[in-house]
Amino acid sequence: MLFVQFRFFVFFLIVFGVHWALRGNTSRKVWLLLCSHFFYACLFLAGPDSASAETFPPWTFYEKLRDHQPLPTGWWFPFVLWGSTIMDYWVGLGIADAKSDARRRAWLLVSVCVNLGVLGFFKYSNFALDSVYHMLNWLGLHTSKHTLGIFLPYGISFYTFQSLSYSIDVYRGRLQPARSFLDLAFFISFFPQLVAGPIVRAMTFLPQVFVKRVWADVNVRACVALFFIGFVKKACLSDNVAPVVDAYFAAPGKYDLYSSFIGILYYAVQVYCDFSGYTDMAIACARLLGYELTPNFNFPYFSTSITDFWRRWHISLGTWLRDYLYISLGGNRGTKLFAFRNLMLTMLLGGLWHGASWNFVFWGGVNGLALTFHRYWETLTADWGPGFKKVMNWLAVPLTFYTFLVTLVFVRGRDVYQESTGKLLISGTRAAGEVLRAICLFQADGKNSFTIHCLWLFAAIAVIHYANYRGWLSGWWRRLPYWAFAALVGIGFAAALVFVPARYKAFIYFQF
Amino acid sequence: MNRSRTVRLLVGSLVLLLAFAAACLVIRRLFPFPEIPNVHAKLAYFREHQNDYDTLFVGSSRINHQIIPAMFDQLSQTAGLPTKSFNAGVAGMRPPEDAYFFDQLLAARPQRLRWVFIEVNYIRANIAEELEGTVRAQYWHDGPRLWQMWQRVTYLKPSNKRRTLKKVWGELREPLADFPEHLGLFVREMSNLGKGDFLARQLLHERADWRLTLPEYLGPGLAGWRETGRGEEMIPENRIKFEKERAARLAEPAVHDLGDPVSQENLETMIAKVERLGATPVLIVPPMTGKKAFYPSPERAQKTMLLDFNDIVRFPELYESRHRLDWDHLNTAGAEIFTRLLAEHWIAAVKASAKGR
Repeated sequence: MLFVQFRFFVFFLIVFGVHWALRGNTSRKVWLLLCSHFFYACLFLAGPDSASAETFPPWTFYEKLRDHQPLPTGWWFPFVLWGSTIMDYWVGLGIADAKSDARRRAWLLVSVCVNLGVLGFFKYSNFALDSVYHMLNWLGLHTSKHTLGIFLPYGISFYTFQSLSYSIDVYRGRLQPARSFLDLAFFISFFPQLVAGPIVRAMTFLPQVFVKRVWADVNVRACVALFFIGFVKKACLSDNVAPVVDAYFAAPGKYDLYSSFIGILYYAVQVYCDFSGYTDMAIACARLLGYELTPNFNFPYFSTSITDFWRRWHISLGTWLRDYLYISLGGNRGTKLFAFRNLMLTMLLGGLWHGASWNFVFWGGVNGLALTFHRYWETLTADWGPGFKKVMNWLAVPLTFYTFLVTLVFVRGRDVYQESTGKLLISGTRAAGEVLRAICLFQADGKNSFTIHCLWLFAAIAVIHYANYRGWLSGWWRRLPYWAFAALVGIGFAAALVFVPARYKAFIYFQF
Repeated sequence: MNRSRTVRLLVGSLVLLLAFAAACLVIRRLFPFPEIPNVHAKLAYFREHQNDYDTLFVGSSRINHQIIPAMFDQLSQTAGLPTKSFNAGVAGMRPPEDAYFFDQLLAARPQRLRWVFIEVNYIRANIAEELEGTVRAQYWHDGPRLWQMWQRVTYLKPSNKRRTLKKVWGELREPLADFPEHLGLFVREMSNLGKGDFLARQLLHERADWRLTLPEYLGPGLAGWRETGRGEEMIPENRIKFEKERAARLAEPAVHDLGDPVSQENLETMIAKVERLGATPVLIVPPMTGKKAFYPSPERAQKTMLLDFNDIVRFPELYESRHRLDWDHLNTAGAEIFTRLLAEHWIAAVKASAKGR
């Protein structure tokens, strides 16, 4: 069940209606907890990109149980989620009740080790085995390749960080532990943010859980508009440019220079629209239920530096890494080399968080270097004249965006296989090399070319995005009478659905 | 909840739904028929040339790949019943998709149509696996078709014994499980989901002219028949099942199954449409090896010309393995024999009926 599917609308309407019809805060939380687990069950039992309407996952699961058939791959995913929640509940109480600092530290260590251990096991064990295998072979010690048949539970990267934030904040004394298990379970498994964020911190969310939500505080119009924008971003833009991106990255060497830039620009559009679209819909759903999630994007493509970019892109992860990793490592304190080490470690681990492969580590590393370079560039140019500053004002945004495009090559730099035969079409390294050659050295010898319409479409998206950035699109619809706004949304959805591809695509960040 | 806010929410939701439905209807009217491989080519070409033809064949792959219009026309010409025929059969097209497609074919009321050959078949409750998530699975899900599917999945075979609720559920459980998929496809179709997909593709890639695909789908002479593309010889796996079923049919002929009333009703609707156009319907039962095959009701069979080739004793050459690809399908050599037999039996039936008058 994806946010863009009809079944989600039906599901959400029921959740919404019952939630506000219930009177007590506890009954509402129980209801939302049940719904969150139902939502999660629909995902892990049917798969995130299940387009078929015939499978009603819980029913299929029941039938399989009844007929003694093999259960779906992810039937055990909730146990990991519950395990993590129960452990952090105990840890929270343990820290609060501990008499000494050593005990408190020990409780925290339990949480950190178990949470990261579980994440590491599910997400990185195959990566580690694979890396060891390649390393040994490189050293001339030929071994056979082993992988574990492990599936990554949906949302584990997100809810593990949320759980950790709870334990750490309780340890740091910034948060009172949740005395009610229901509160913590509800915080960790709240469905809008369960599988792909934003990574909501306990400090932000738990206080909301303690207080009964008030219907009068819900700005329905803003929520509906935000959901609609997210829907259009994901279903109409991201999913429609995906075929162009796939075609380009399957054979970058076969495209000319214009198409190479279109390929990478569209990838930037796809990633942004996919993830920020998801976030918009998640935030809108949560707000409709009376809860506020952490914002995740703030027009990152208009950033004036790479440092600024990381303050605007995946904000919840960036701030999480800053507050719980970078600062814990020592932050800016100490020598420049020490700060550089902290920054690089944070970015490398941040890269690794995105995916268990070297291209993500490399991506994190490149971003770390870019951030360091920017830091020294700022020091270096601090005293330069107003003329330079004026030029930089003009160049900052395109230069930052271009830097992001270059780093994006590493995110996408994965092996591409032919769908029908499973044959390797191009290795990730080679693809990345060819794309970098095109966009950095402006060399592309291919003959294939995308149509000029691609450029117009990109220009249109850019103009609309810029207008939205400047706030030109945000005022007028607020002034409409409520019925006119409702009619407009109805017509808008009808028009948007036309451009939704027949086959749904899972959100890119589901894989993280 | 604050009462006035709640009322506004409800009114707003209602307005939203109404605006959504109205916009969907308008968009649905504006949009052309989706470019579904084969289906679109046949429909678009026939619509453009509908008054060139007086004979039409509709049905599944057993029509599409087994009736050669050029050969049929030649044989009918020789017999003094000249025709100009078009094969509108599409692989995988079964009721109720065929009825929808049929509606689209006849929407502009072809003036010269005199004969319409319809393959009789059951309504298929499930969506073929290879079509799941495609526009082909979606496009025919309009209101009448959804209603038909509902009637089909809730149909209980007549029984003299009294049914308990458990038994009813036991019988309906499986077909009912197919209905949510149809409901989902209906919602998707009515909300025009995915219809702009081809526009987006055309925006991003070079615009493909559907006319260029005509020879691929409509075959030689653009008359609608084409080879299956599966070779001309039966593959060993198919041969085993085919020989087994062939032997079974030699021992015991296929049961004439009337199926369910919904499938019969679907056929009746198609026949009525043909008759309203002033054309004559002809029902075809192609040669298959299954234990049972769908047949029109006896009353209908009396009123309408029925050409039944599902008989291994009467048509042994259609059941020779060198003429077949599997238990349901003929190869090109088989298609030639089938077309010849179809033409001969049809000519004979027409002449007999003319004499009778």
